[in-house]
Amino acid sequence: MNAPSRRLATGVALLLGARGAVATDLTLEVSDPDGKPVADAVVYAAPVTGTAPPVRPKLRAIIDQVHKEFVPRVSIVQTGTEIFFPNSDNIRHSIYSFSPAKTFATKLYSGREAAPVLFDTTGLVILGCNIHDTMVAWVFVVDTPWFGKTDADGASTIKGIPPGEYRISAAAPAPSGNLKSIEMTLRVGGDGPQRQSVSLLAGG
Amino acid sequence: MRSHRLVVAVTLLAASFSAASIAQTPAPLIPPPQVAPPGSLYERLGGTSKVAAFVGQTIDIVAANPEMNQSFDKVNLQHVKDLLIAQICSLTGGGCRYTGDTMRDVHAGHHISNAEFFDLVEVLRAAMRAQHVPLGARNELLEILAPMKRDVVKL
Repeated sequence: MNAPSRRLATGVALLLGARGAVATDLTLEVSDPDGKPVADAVVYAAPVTGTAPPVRPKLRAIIDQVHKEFVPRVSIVQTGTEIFFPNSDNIRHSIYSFSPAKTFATKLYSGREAAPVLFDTTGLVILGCNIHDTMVAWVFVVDTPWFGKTDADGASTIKGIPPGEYRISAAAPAPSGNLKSIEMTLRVGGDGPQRQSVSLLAGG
Repeated sequence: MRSHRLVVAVTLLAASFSAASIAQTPAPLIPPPQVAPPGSLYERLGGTSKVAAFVGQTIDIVAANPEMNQSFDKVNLQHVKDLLIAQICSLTGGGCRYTGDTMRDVHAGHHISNAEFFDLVEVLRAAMRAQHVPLGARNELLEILAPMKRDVVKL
């Protein structure tokens, strides 16, 4: 793309606002301090400048109960999301959270559909089951629609991020139960359609 | 379309969360009485200490037996024991209030067989004998528990 057309594109983007600007698919690669890829890490991008995008209505997510485990064990949802617990085990579970971002308790019974739970505050919510001690799930509630979860190679692509300055966060529950997290500021897009691949290298 | 590769080194932040916030909810129970109400079956069973002993023994034996423990996999056994003690206390005049789920809700989906049910009854009888619960009281308790079979097996 030459300089004049880039200026033109910028001008159009300014006229249309962020929504009309070209968006970027941002790939984040999350690795642990030893450089190994981290699967099941959550990643999300929150705009540093400008207004956050409007919350979409009727956001829904599912955390199932399979062989007395939560599936998936790690979730990331936008604030305002209703999470359903379909209980494929079809035995009784007694799900609870003491986390400040969402404190609740709900019982799941065989053959009965339970009401979904609304997650409306940002933060980390840790779920357990009163009947089955070993069940644990992590739910990250974020106030941005730009988020993802890393695959087996530690990579996640967040699609359609409008150009701008973003705070990028990545977090993963460690086997010990402690959480490893990363935060950084990153300029995304702003130069026409492009694909940026960002590797987060954990140091320190 | 161009492809940029941007490698950014960042610092690992101190872990800001911990799974230590996972804790058990206290069992919603009225504690069983120190002294059993005089004349009650609960008293003849030996009161809270004996009931807790034979309930605990029963659950431990069943949960450790591969032939009988399919419903107890990953289950918080202390929670089960506490609720069973409260339920027996409630059913035998001990003055407790059972606040757990119905027997049907508790067992639904576990596909418990007749054999598993009767095996557990046998373990319970042996545990009561081991605790020297008198024969009459043992039979009275089994008589109270027997009708629950329809809300336990083949669900």
